[in-house]
Formats: sequence, C-alpha cells, structure tokens
Amino acid sequence: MKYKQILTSAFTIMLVLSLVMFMANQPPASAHAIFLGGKEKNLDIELSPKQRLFHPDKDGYFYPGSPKITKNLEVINVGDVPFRICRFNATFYGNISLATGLQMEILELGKGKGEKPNFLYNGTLSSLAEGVEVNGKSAIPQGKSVTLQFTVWMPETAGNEYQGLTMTADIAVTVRFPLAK
Amino acid sequence: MDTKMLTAILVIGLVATMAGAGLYAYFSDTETSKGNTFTTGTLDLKTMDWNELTWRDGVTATWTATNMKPGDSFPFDVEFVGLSRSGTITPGSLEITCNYSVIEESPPTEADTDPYTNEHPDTMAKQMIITRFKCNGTEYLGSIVDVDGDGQKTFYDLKNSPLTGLPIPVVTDGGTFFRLSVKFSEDAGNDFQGDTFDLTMIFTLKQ
Repeated sequence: MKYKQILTSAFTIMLVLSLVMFMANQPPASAHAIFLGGKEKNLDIELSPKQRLFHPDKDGYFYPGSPKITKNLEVINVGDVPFRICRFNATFYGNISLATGLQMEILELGKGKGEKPNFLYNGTLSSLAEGVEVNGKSAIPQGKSVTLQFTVWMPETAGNEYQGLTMTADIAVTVRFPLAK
Repeated sequence: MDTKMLTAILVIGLVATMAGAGLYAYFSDTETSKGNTFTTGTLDLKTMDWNELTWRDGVTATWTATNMKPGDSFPFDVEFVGLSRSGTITPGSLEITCNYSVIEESPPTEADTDPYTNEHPDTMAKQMIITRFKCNGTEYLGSIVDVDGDGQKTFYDLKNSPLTGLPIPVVTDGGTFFRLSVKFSEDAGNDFQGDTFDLTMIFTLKQ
C-alpha cells in the first residue's frame, strides 16, 4: 500500500515537472526570453512592411502565364540574440483551391550586389500550409535585418478551374536561435 | 529498500524529462505577414444571334437549312452570331472551330446508299462547303486551311484546323458579328439523302 503511494507521488511529480518544462519551451507570440550567462536575452523579430505584400489592386489579376509578381519582406532583429530564417508556413482563406495553382519562390537576398541570393523555397503555395523547413544562410545580428524576396506566379499550364478565384494568405516567417542546426 | 527504489524512479524520471525537453533544440520566434490577397482574372465570352437578341452563354439553331440537295447554296444573309466579352482580363485572340454529327433518318430513305453516315460524319462535313466566313465585315475564308486538299473550305477543314488569331470581340453591348454562308457540294451523292448535318460552331477566347 505504502509502495503504491510512493509510486503515485513520484509519477505526479514527474508529470508536473514535464508539463512545466514543456511550457517553458513554448515561444510566446512576439518574443522569447533566453537566459545566457544569467542574463535575460530576447529572440525577437519584426517584419517590414507591416502591411500585406500582395493585393490585386497593385498586382493585377493572375492568369496562366501572367507576369511574375515579386515583393520584398524585411525581417528585422529587434532582440538581443542573432537568428537564422528556419521555417515558412501559410494559412489560407477564401477560395483555397487557388493555392494549388500558384507557385511561390522565396529567396534570402544577399547584402551586397555581388552576393548571390540564397534559395529557400520553390513550390506551390498550398505546400506552405503544412510548413516548410528552410536553411537561412545569414546569421542576422542584433539591430540588423535580412530581406526575403517572395515571387508569385501562375504557370502557363494552369487551367480554367482557377478562373475568378480569390484567396487570402497569412504567411508566417520563423527564425531560430542558436544558429547551428 | 523503498527509499532506494523511490530515488531510482525519481532519477530516471528526471533524466527522461530533461532528455524530452532537450528535443526542443532551439528557441524560435514567428511573425506573420497577414492579408495577402491573390485573385485570378476571368475571361467570359457572351453570344447572341439574330433570333435570340440578349447576351447569353451559347445560342442555338442560328443557321437552319432544310431540304438541301447537291448544289444548293445558303447565303444566310439575315442570320448572324454576335460575340462580346466581359471578364476582368483582356484576351489575346479569338479562335473559331466547329464540331458536327450526322443524324440518320429513321427509318432511312430507300435511296440513302449509306445509312451509316452517322458513324463517319466527316464524309458529309467534306461536302458542306463554307463560302463566307466573316467577322465584323472582314472575310476570313482564305485563312481556313484546306486540310484534305480537295480545293474546298469545308467544315471538315475548320474542325481539323481551327481558325486562330482572330481579333477579340469588343466588350458587351458593342458586339462583334460573325456571318456564315454554306453550299452543299454538287458532288454530294445519295449517301446523304435524308441525313441531317448537326453543326456546332465553337468560339473560344484565348489569353
């Protein structure tokens, strides 16, 4: 009987401890506090522009073989620790079947003119729904930023099933610390 | 003994918990670019004809010729199909082609030497000669390719070599008018007695 009580207590303690540690590892919505050398540091980014990148009022309508639309998104390090880009994912609203008919390429632009962009993703928008892991090339230090180039187009092979559709996408960018994978 | 066992269980549990926590190998932060909107354009061709005078998706029985006999001509001076477009994007061109079938009289006329023309309608289509093919006043008959090389422009030729690159129709309420004249070849024989040639003209807006 006493042995059972001890086991139950031990199990409860471990369960509570596991939950506490699990919760501690969940990043908050805006920033994540990290303790390095006893000091609190923040992993925190901001996006610029804060407004949406793509809209038909500026970009026009997509159709098979329509011109590619390219937009830049700056990811700014407003925290205390460096980061790398590590993941994209998207949530779709409206005529979400359109996500299968649109292609997206994401590049991480270099700092200088001579520096080649780093390829991060090329595929359908719909594939971003599940999230894709990517390898950011640059370590972005505190106060600096990296520019992501998003290019969207509709391939010439797309058919009539995509006529007259409208879809909205929230595109999430995730960064990580420490820098090594 | 109990104390030892309890200690062992707690140590194992602690190590397992730490190991589990170690799976979260890095910290992360996520920000979202919201409200990105993607919209595709539309191409929409509308039609009307001389006896259906409102814009609609398709018209029927525009050209009707009855009791045709070899050598008959049908100028169709009154009959026309109007074409107009709506939609959010401007097409690049208009394509015109056709499809057809043959309906055999039932029971077939005794003089019908081929009661199975419905199974090979191309033979009748080759006898249906196009003599006028006008879009907004411009004659495009010469642009139809003589696919079978018989020296005639027939519905067989139009089906097998669609006429492409035609000017796009103007937007709705203006309209582009398509006119057609037809001749039933003098060479058509008894194979086609009592047969009905059912023609579908196909107008397609191309990007």
